[in-house]
Amino acid sequence: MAVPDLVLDPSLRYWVLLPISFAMVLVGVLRTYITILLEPSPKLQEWKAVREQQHLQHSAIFRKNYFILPSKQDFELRKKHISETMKSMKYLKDGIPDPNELPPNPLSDPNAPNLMFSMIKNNIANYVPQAVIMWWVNYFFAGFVIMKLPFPLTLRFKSMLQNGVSTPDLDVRWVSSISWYFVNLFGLKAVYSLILKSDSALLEQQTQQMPIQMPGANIQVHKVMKGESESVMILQYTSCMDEIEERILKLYA
Amino acid sequence: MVQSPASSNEDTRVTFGASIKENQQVLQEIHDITSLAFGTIAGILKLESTYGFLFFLITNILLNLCFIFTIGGFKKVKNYYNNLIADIFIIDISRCISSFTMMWCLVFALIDT
Repeated sequence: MAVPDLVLDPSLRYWVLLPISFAMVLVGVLRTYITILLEPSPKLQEWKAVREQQHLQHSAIFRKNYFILPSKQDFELRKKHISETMKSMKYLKDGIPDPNELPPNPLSDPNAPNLMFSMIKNNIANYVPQAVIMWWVNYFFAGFVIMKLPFPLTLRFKSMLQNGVSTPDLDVRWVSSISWYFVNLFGLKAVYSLILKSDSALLEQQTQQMPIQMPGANIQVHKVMKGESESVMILQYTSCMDEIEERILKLYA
Repeated sequence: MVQSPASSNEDTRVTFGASIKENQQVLQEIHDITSLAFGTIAGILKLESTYGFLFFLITNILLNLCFIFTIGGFKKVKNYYNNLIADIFIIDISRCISSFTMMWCLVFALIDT
């Protein structure tokens, strides 16, 4: 019978392997809840801004779906209404801006620091726990081999995965605790999403609801409205019912 | 005459983003569970190196084929997903392979020592 290269103490798995996984799962759960708690409640927008956005959306939806309107009359009515309201700039948030006036400096926007701050907070909530666990694993379980990987690795990984093990000729498949940490780091994503199914969905929803507007994106709405008005004006009425008989015959022939 | 945008053309299919996302989540959950399970199996079977990854590939492809047949064959896929290859076979593969590797290493180590 072949003698194994290395015999590992079975208690290593109870006192090193499983605790690392366990701690990482718990920290991941904690991190998710902290991110949810840190998430600011969505701020209410000014009604004029909402109105402006919704009119733009209305026009865009009309341009996309006009062909389902049943008759040409309906189409012309809506076309006229939208192009007129867009042209009159009635629903612009701040009225028509003075053409001589310089566009506002995006950096002086009072909302910008808040946005930056929340982004930084999120990043910190992601990276700090990882760094802490890595330190913990390195500090507590340093200097010994804990497991044999089921697949071979190249020698290049030796310095990283056998960190602190002073055996120059040992096969790279025998690795120390830090590599188990890395395997967990990538592999636990699936476990988190199974454990935190509802909560992570909630988190996603919250981040989606936040208006994604980067500071510095200085869109001139009155120009967008003018463009919308023009593109609605040039629409030609076609209906999804055109030539429907032929298509049905072709489908069932 | 201007062609109607709703004429039966593949590119102008009307899709609802939220539904497609929901479908992707269903598939992702299946992928999560099965990749962990297949990792465990690979560990119990004590598969090593290439055999383990081959096992992963084969089981993953079989699973996806089974999934496609449960939703009604290849023709029905485009009722639920945008793209057959990208949305069913490719999208979760990196995630699956990492969780597979994790369970494989863990069970392999537990059995081996």
